Amino acid sequence: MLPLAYPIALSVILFIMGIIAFFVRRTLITMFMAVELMLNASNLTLVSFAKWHGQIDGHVLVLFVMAVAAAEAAVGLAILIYYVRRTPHKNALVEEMP
Amino acid sequence: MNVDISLNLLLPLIWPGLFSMLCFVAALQPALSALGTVFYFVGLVFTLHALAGLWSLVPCEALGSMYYDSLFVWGGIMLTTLFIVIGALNVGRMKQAERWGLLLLVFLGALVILAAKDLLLLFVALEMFFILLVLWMAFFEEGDHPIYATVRLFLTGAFAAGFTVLGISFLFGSAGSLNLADIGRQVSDAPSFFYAFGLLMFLVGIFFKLSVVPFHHWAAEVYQDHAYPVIAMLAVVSKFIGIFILMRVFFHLPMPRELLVGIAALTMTVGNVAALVQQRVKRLLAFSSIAHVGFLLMALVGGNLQGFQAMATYLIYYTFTFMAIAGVLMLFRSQEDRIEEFDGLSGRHPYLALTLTVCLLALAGIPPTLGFIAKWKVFEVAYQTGQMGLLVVAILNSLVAAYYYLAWIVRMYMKQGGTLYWPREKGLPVLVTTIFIMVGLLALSVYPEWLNQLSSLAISNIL
Repeated sequence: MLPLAYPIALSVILFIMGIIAFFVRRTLITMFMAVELMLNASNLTLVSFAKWHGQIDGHVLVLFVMAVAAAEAAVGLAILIYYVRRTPHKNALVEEMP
Repeated sequence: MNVDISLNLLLPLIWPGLFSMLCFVAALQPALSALGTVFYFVGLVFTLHALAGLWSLVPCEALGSMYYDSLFVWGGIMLTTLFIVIGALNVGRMKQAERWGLLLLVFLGALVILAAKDLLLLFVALEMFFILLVLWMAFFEEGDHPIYATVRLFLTGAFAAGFTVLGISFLFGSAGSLNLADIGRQVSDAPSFFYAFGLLMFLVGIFFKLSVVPFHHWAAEVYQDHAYPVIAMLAVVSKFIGIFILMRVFFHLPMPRELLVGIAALTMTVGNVAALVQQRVKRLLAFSSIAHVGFLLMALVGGNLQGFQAMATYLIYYTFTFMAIAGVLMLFRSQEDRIEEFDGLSGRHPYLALTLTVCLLALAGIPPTLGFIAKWKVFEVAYQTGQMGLLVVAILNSLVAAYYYLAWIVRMYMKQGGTLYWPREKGLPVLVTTIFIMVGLLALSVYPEWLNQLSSLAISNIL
């Protein structure tokens, strides 16, 4: 079996990449994608811990996190589109946030 | 384990859900949209009734993942009252029925948070609260640039949610369970690295939502661009549930006391010092609310039941005073939202100036007001648990805070030339609500023993 350290290290690296992307690429869509990357990195941690402990709870939580992330994406994209329609600069989605 | 699924236990959760659905149905027909307001208040009153009926049943567990104890019932009743106030401040302002339905669902999310016993339910309820709150905020047209502020809050909150999930996953990894009590039992033997890291990340996520220093940058920027109902919601309800989450978590898990003491001192100092130099009213309110979170954390650090009671007192005082101040400010029409506009307000609107003065004195914690009693309780807890350094910082902070609140009052009475005025044609519901809150607050400050009884109810039966 794969040692626990490998998937944990991978997910922590992915999570840190998400944080870096959030602060370095200041465009709305990219920041949004960075957040999704962070959530998915945490999901990887959850799955590997659940496998390690032999507990089903972690797997269940992963499904809930995915559902929440989907709801977040739906609401988030709706708000982003509303924002782009209402703002004077038409390239707001790909411009840097002030 | 005996899981009780009787209807009485579920009613407080059924009513808001049911009535929000009715609101959405009413939203289908433009002619029916006025019904949304009615459904909202009826739903909240039913919830209040169902919660009050729970007093005889606590403490028990429902559905295997919720604690029904005095903390939940007390917090639920407080939350319902706060949402009634928020609704009353918005009567006539929110025309569409779907906005009332969303607000009820936000309330449902917040209510579940208060009872959550395991991290799964806590996370789902927290996200339900946050996502629907953002959706509700997006409807507002008032304020400088509300939709931009909404996007900003959404990105910050989603970023914080990433930390919360990572924290929960490491807490799960350390104990092999999502139940707070189980995690606490595992940890008491030997806290592992996974546990420490997980708790830290979880706290970072919650601290973002609470706008605790150093995660407070979003607060002033979101507040300054948004409308007063949203400011009241963010400054009151979101902090209320954030503090409740911390209370629940540290009731079961060992508290990293030094960390929290440092954060509390930093939060109140940065909040108050930054509020000193603000020229815009909404930014001043933002930093003032940050400073108040510092005091709430100070009560949490006490960690015992007396600390929880002090926190309950402080929550009663802070939430309703802030609602009153948001209500008064909502009445005025202001051009630039600058504090100079308040110059000479007492000449134009003497009664409103007096109301605002009472609220500001309460926020500053000047002796006859409720603010003094609440602050005194928090200081007492810090003194008894031996947090002398924090106590000194807090007292110095109260002095700094008194300065900028009093400067605002002086501006209203001593100076001339402001342009702020109250357009009398609107704002009657807001005025009536504010008067109700003021009467309640004054009654509590005249009879402090009522306040004592109210806050001791919260800790009478904790699971």
